[in-house]
Amino acid sequence: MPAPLPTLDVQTIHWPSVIRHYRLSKGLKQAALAHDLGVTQTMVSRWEAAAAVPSVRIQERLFDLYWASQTSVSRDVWLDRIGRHPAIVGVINAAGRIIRASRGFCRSLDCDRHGLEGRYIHEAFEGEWPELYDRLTSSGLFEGRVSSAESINTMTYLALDGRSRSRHVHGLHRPSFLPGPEIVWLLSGAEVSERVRDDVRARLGGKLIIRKAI
Amino acid sequence: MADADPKSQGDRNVWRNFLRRYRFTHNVKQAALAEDLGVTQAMVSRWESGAVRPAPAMQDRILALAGSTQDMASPLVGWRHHVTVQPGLAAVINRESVIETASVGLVRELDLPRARIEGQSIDALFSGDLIELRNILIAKGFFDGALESVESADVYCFANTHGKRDIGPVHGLHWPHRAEDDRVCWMLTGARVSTAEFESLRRELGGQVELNGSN
Repeated sequence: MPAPLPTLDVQTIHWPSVIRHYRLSKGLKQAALAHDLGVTQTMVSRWEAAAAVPSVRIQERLFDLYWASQTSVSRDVWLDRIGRHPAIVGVINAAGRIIRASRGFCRSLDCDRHGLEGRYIHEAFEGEWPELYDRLTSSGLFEGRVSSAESINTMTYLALDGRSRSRHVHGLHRPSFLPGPEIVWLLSGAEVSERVRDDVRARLGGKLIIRKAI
Repeated sequence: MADADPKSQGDRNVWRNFLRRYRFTHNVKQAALAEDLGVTQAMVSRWESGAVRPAPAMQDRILALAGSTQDMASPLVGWRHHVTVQPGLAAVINRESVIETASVGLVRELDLPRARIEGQSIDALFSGDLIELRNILIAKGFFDGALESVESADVYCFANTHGKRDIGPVHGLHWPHRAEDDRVCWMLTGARVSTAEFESLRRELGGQVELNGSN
């Protein structure tokens, strides 16, 4: 039975979370952020209270600030680096489509890039990983409501030839703020032994912990 | 305004913000947190002012206390924190070869307490390929921004094995990261690979490393 594809609706960014989280992560007061953005402190306060939505110019500027706080390279170089990453790293968009898969990701699943890139999580995997995508989505990862999540799962991959393979993966999941503005899911992980899987599961108290943005 | 400029954000702010956020989201007073950690309230206050960074052993205790809570919000923009929580092999190493930050995955592979990794020189922990890699990076101007990235195939060996088994073959990707204070740090990332994969990588790279110039 083919898995239903998620709808490709327009992403709704939750600006109060995005702004407040950026500000608090940087240890900035409202006045300082207002100064950086060239607006009044009242304006920042209204955005954070969801009493107003920032203009397109401000939205773009905020995403630039997020970007600058993470890396000094361009989006293309960043994506290229992810493609060459030795560990499991992937970039997935709000629709659940894998837009970049690292070399380590492909190696771990014994496939090539095309076995992952361009495919949807719901179609390329079965079991716990589609569930993980659903949980992250319903928690608002693509809206900017999640700051990070940690998981310990069995990843069951469906290769293009129809065969499947399973791996125990310790995963870390974060939103990445791309120019657009667009929020994508940046996943990184490592294949682990059953012993490590059990240790991590005991530490997390389950298979998944989602940490919300403030 | 000093705190409006991200460049002026020292690493100590990671802890300052972390502690403040923990207290803020959990409604805990400084005195109560101090008691939980077995320190004075003045010490918590100094951490939160950014004047002092918690000692490595205390960082573990803080994380054990504050990092274990499900609802805990973690910094979205802290690149260093992002390295710390990586399940794979990752580290931030400075030009003096000191490991400033180690990932969960690296701590797990080294099987040592975090406090015995962070703050240590890589020479104290490793011998062989990783030291050779460091020497190449320095010689090629990595810490002066001369390279965009470096790919490598290295065998990770312990300097003092203490009866431990070496980590073995690792496929690495390294790039310079400009820290808050403008220093160039070595961002090390990697994953363990099989011997067969390692040999194939060595052939592909034409040796231990492949350098990619900037621009």
